[in-house]
Amino acid sequence: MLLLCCTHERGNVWTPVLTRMLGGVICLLLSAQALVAAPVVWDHIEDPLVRAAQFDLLVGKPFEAITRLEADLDQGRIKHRPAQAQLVLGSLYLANGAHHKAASIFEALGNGKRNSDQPQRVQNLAWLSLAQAQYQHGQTDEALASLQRINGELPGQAQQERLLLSAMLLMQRQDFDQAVVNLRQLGKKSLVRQLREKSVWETYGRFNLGVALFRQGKEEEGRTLLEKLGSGTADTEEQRALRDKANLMLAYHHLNKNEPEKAQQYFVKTRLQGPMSSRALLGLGRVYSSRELHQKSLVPWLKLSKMDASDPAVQDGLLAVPFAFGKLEAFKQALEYYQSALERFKAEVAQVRQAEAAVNSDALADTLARAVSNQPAGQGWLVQDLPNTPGGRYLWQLFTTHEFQETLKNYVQLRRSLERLAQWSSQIDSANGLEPAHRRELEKRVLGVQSELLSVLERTQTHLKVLAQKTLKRHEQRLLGYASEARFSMAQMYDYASKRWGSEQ
Amino acid sequence: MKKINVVRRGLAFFCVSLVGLGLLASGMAYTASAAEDSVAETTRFVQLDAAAERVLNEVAALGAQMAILEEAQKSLSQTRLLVLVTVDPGPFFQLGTIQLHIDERMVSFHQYTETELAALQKGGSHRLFWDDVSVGQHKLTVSMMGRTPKESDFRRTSTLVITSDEERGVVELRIAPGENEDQSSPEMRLKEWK
Repeated sequence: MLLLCCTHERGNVWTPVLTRMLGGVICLLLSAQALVAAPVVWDHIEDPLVRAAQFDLLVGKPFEAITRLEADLDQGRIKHRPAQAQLVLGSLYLANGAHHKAASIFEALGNGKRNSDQPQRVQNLAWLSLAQAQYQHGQTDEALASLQRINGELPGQAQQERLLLSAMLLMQRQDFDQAVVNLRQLGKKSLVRQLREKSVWETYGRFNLGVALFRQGKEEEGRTLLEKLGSGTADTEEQRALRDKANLMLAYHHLNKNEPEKAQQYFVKTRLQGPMSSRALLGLGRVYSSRELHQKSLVPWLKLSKMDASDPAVQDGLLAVPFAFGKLEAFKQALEYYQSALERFKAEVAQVRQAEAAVNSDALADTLARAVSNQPAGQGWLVQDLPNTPGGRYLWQLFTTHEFQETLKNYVQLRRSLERLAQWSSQIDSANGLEPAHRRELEKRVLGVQSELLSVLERTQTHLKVLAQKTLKRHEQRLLGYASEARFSMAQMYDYASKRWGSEQ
Repeated sequence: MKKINVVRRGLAFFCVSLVGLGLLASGMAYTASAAEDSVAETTRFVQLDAAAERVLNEVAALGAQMAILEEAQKSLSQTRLLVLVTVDPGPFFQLGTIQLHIDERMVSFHQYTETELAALQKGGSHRLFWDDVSVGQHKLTVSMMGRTPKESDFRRTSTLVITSDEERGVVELRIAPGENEDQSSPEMRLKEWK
């Protein structure tokens, strides 16, 4: 992040930067976890038509199941325990992205006696799934309220998901004290149970507890926790990435406190491949640089400068290399590396502008929508499954946000609905024996929904575009700033050189 | 010599402030106005998300009306028949395929995927057949194939005669663990729901 700031600046600048880093890490952890709520499945469904709807839900066809079940309810065909149909309907709406509708169904059932035939465990899982969906849709208060409806403990991993989600929501509300209480419960299980489950949720929980403790000002306790995480064994790539994050956080914490030796211990524990490697290399260079070991600082920084220049840490590295050469009074090399950095920044700006053009022409939204449509129904989508979109390197972080993902899902569903409406319109036209009044009513309804849908579709497309444009603009401004700094620095060096030769002559 | 030192100090200071300045820009993102923007953006997203949900729910409601209309389109001499498959969870039997004959004519053949088998195990019922049949008496013959620990090619056939009227008919094929001691051979029952 920040390099070589003077002491006076540190007090004003480091604190928000550290806060931003912590906040960023928290957001990243939940978005990266791909919190895809499992379908809510109910026990002992009696009516066969309702069971058929539950089957469609489980094979990822919630829309088809909703239309059939609503039609069956409308026609009075659900004859056996119709309240169970409402439960399944709630699950179907939830799976179809309609979390408000699902919440109203579950709440109505929860307040009455209609779902009393369902075991508490099943009801609890329904509230958890609803809370996960609400969280993904940015409904923090509603998600917390849903979690509060859970009565008793959930089985196995679900309980860990519950505690972690509730801690995340509390952190979003800046309620770190309560978040810490929840996160501490994650570690309360017996070691045997933890080993059996090998849950990454528990690891996430420990990391987030460390972060929350830092935020609470309990630095020592937070550090101890992160140290354990950073030196523990990791069986999966996800756990290894978390271990790197823990080490990186501790390293930057010490670096920012002007304790480079301590910082170094953690930087060297971070792997030199994987998503954290660029920040580790940047930080390690800073450690050496702050100890005036400029020659040594060049080792990680030169390695860093060969990496993908869309990464902000690499961009910092591109300026850090000539800085180190300047410190070593190797001005010729410094000049060459400034020139090379300038070329890289210019090339990256061209890439960002190409991406901006793709976003402005709606090509990005169309490409992403096609990719999402081709993925198996009912499953969450992951960034790595997406096609190589123009400027994707600059947008992947945006793609991992819940806001972008949910908006894109809505966009895909709205487009699909538009096709359905066109198909229904032809069906109404060709329907035999339809009462003229009924035909007119259906046609009017289709037209009404079509018009509303088009308006929401346009707004959704614009929202996706604006999100991408803002992200790209931020990258562009940063790159342009860096390019002008490289140019300015070169000018300063020429100026210095001419003065030096002048004085020697 | 003195002049050079001054310039060098200047350069060193410049380099420090250069990198510092550049990176300060990256730290600027976390400001009060950025936080306000973020709240406004979240509000916009929540509102748009709610609008999308509303219109998609209207589409679903219209879809239900279209399903009713579609079913009402059958001719007077026909009725809609639904045949469902339900599996009571048992530890030994793995369902493979099911065939349905109506009046000696094969009308459905389904090979189950892992996802579908999991959905059946969790209490879902699969729509094996969902189409129009003529009003009157019909003979339904269902054959299932699968695997048990004792038989890798386990087969059973069951038959049911139904009389369909203008109302939609629902027939359920239920596969349950057998009542024999080791429960390894599943049993198959056909039931007409009224």
